[in-house]
Amino acid sequence: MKFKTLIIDDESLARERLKMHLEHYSEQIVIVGEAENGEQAVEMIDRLLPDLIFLDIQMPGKNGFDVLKEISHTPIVIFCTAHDEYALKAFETSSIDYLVKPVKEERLSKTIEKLNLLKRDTAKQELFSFIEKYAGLTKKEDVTSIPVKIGDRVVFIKVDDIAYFSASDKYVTINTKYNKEYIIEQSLSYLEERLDSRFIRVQRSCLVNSEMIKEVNKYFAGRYILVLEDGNLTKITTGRKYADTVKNILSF
Amino acid sequence: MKKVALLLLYLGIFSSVFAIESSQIDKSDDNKQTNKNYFSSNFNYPVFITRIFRDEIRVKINGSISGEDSLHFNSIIDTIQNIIKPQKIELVNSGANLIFYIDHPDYKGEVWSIHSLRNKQNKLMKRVVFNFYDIVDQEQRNKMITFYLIRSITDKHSVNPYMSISKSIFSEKDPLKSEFLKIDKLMVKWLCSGEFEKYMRACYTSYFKYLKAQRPKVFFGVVNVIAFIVAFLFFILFVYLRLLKLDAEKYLSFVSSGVLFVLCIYIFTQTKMLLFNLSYGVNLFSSVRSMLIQGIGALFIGTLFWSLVFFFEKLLFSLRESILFKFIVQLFSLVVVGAVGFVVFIFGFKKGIDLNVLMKNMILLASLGLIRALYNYQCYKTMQQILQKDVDLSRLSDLKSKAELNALHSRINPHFLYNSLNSIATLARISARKAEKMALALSDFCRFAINRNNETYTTVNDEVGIVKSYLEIEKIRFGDRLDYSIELDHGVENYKIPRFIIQPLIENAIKHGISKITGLGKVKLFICKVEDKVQIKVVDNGPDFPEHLLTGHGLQSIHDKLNILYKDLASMNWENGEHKYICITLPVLK
Repeated sequence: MKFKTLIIDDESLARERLKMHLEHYSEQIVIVGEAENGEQAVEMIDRLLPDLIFLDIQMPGKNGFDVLKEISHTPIVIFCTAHDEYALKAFETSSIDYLVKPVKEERLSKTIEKLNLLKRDTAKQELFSFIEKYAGLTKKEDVTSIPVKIGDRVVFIKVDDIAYFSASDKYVTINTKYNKEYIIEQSLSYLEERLDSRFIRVQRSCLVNSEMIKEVNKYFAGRYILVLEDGNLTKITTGRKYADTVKNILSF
Repeated sequence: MKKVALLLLYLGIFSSVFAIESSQIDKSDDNKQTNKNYFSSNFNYPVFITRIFRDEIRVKINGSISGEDSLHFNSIIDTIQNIIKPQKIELVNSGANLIFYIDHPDYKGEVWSIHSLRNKQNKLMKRVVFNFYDIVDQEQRNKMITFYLIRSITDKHSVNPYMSISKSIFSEKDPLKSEFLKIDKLMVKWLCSGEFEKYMRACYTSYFKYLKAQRPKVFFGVVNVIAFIVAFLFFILFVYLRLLKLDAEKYLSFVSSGVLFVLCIYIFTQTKMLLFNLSYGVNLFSSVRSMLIQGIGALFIGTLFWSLVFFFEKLLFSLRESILFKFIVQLFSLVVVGAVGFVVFIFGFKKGIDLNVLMKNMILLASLGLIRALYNYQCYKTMQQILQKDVDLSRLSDLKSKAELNALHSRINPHFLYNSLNSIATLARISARKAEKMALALSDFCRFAINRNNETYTTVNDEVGIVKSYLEIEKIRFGDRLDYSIELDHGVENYKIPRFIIQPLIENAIKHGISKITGLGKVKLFICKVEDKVQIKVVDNGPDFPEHLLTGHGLQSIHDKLNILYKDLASMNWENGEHKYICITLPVLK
């Protein structure tokens, strides 16, 4: 039994290398094509209906997962990834195997041995559940700085340096621990969503870096006064609605 | 150190105020207000020396006196006459209102006495009795005559017990030790003209009584209530701060420095007063004694005053925390507390107070407040600057170490090395020539990146060399998908630029630009001279720069590096869209 095989990788060298190794298994593997990006891959899979694909995850345009979501034909998938962080335990589905680039001969031979045990007709559902798992495992990269355009220059404000964001009518102001102020256009809720959990909303118009809080003083009616560790020792009165958030995050 | 400087400054101002005042005390001019001021504050308070004769003084002498005695009587009366003009004093035989009985048989037992009597016309008259006994020395007899005569033309005879002027007729008890001093002459003059009495009354007639006469009773009721409330509030304040928030150390240092200040001023003024007294022949011992007693008073009042100031300010500072507010509070706190103190003094103790003294003290407090506020403001500013410097410094060193770290990291991205080595491994089988080329390019890159002293700057040429070898390597990896070009303005080759500043831009363009697109990726590097600056521009056709938030440290570390090396002189900018580019502008270093 021969496997119609498609190689999908944006790096030609990687494709060359894989092809080179697969030549040893010509009784089992027939290479029917190569795709160098996600779009090509989708088109070729649905046209050539391969039994097996070697799929790179990181590619320009559509990545490997996008490809899997879009194809209607479902072949056996062997991921090729350059990065160890993708060598996940999630690759447990019977329809999937993975190889870490650069692919080594011994590892490839094991995969080929396993090939006959793998299910031919992969259920799409399995693939999706895998992708979901995978997506859950990739951590969103933390925002490290915020570029602010000032005249004809871009200034980078490090997130670590930000004491708090305050919103006025139209703009949001970044207040750094060096008491500098920068005006940006993004909304507080956008920032709150994108920034890491250090930043907490303590008031309708204020997002505070909790690592900058020096003191918390009780105020009236479930409100608190936060003293920040910036040069001005800025005081922020928290909103009544946010009392629980403040309590939780400061854990008292 | 600063406190000492402040104290000296204030003492300077203070002493100059008093120097002006002292210069006005001119002993040669008997009519000067300041002299009267001086006597009024040193002489008998609250007992007045009042005049008793409002018109002519007609002296009659009964008893046995010698011719020399009567001669002296005449001469002393002449002297007095000269002093008290236009009031008249003369020796008469009948109609006298000042009658002396000297060695008179009727009054043998009495040493001396003065009786005020009324004659038949209900006019005031005085009977003075004294005996010479066995004193024969004419000089001594003259002294007695002078002594009793002077004393009899005034009503009260005692002066301030703390302020005895030795030999002065008004303070010496023993006639034989007394002399008719210049100060006594002054007293006689003022007494008889009524000027002194008027002046003393103006000063010491109870201000409270005066007010009482002018205002309805309700007013005083209200004032009393207010004073009580104020006092009560202060008490509450005291308890509150004392129990809850008093910073004992702060309080002690504040009050002690305040009291020290009060004592300094006190010693200064008292020393001046002492010297002045001595020049008038005031007894040294009694002067020092009065100084000490008043010193203890000053200590007590000073402590009270500064404590109140401390609590007052603490309370106000807790309300708002702005520098301006602090400044204003410190400017007025002394005056406010001082005024409250005076109000309490006047209404609480129902004592009169000299308006001049009040004004003088208030002005003193106001000027002290001003200087204190200015000084503290200055200190605060300096402190702020120091803090700012600290922050700047720590930020700089922080950034520097971080940037250095980043620079180290960015020299050879481990992923890049790894990818390159993998590529070489693959190429080894496919094309030995390509593998060789790539290995050599990587070696070049490493030589640029690693085998260097830790110089901060390099030339444009060198930096472009790194970029070229880097791009060569990437080109092998990307194959036909990558196209690059480098354009240098003529003459920029030897300009100095920071090391590893272009390569990260290119790496960024490839990592976030070219590798994200499917078609042909183009990277262009332009280095050109614009006016007196070098512009490094990297153009690629990848996706836009993130407009809002950045992850990763590449651009950030370049930005930090520029900031450390050039401050505001260098800048970074980017443009998205069709002509997407990132551009660094640096001042030229040759």
